[in-house]
Amino acid sequence: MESFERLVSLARNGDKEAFGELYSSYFTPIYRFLYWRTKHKEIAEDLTQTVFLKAYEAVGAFENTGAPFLSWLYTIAHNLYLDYIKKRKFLLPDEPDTFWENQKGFLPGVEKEITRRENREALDKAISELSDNQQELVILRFVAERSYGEIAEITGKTEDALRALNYRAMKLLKEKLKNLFEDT
Amino acid sequence: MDKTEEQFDRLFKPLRVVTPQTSLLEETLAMLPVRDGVTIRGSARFLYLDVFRYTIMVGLVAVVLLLSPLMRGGDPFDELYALEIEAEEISQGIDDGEFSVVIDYVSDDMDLVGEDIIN
Repeated sequence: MESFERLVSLARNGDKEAFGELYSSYFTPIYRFLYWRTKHKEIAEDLTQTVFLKAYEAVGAFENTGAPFLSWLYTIAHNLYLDYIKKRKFLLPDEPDTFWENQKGFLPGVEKEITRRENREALDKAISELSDNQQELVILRFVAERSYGEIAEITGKTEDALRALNYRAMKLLKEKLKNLFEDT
Repeated sequence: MDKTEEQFDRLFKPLRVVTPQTSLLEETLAMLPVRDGVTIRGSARFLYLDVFRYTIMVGLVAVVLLLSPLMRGGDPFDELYALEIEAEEISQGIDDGEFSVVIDYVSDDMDLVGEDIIN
């Protein structure tokens, strides 16, 4: 396994195999972010693929400026999602529940299927009711597990603004998910 | 991470298990363009440099040509006036179909040079 720097260097010179290794390493987190933004499997897959195609074209411009490679990919994904929203002007409806039925481990610790389903629906609904900026922050913070510093780089907002946004988002979610919090 | 954030962290944990059902790796690799950008950029930069150098050279030559009569002590206004008259005469000669004016100048100049050598 080549080192990360070596892979970037090779990919910069057009080495598709090296780029393939980077792709394999980072596909899932980028897909996960775009899945929660679009809530659509196929669109998330297409957008993730486009993120990597754009990354391949721009990898020559990527320099180790201190920003992690994954944050750079998130920035591309963030911009791509904004473009997608502008073009579509609306969000597609959520996918059918069959997707979730195949996802083992969703809301672990909850034994009863009905509770699991209710909890998932409540969480999903609560996130959907947040503003677009709040949704993005919550996904980057709690699903993608990015720091405020990284989210600031990705979204172009200040860390203070993000903390304030996060505070409001958590307050709203807590109100909407009161039952879940009482359970935990 | 404070207590509330920790609660949210636990709450969102299940969302992190979402994984793509396909990686699309082969398809994406097949879609990657052939990287020839380095060569194109390199030659483009080379061309720009050449044009820049050529422009500088032409500019320097023009400056030297323009300044050379002045360096010999000529008055810039007289030089410009002389150039203007000369251009008018040539132009007039061409209009009249007489190229002899130009030829005369050349032959006169050659005679002068010849006389200088003899003397």
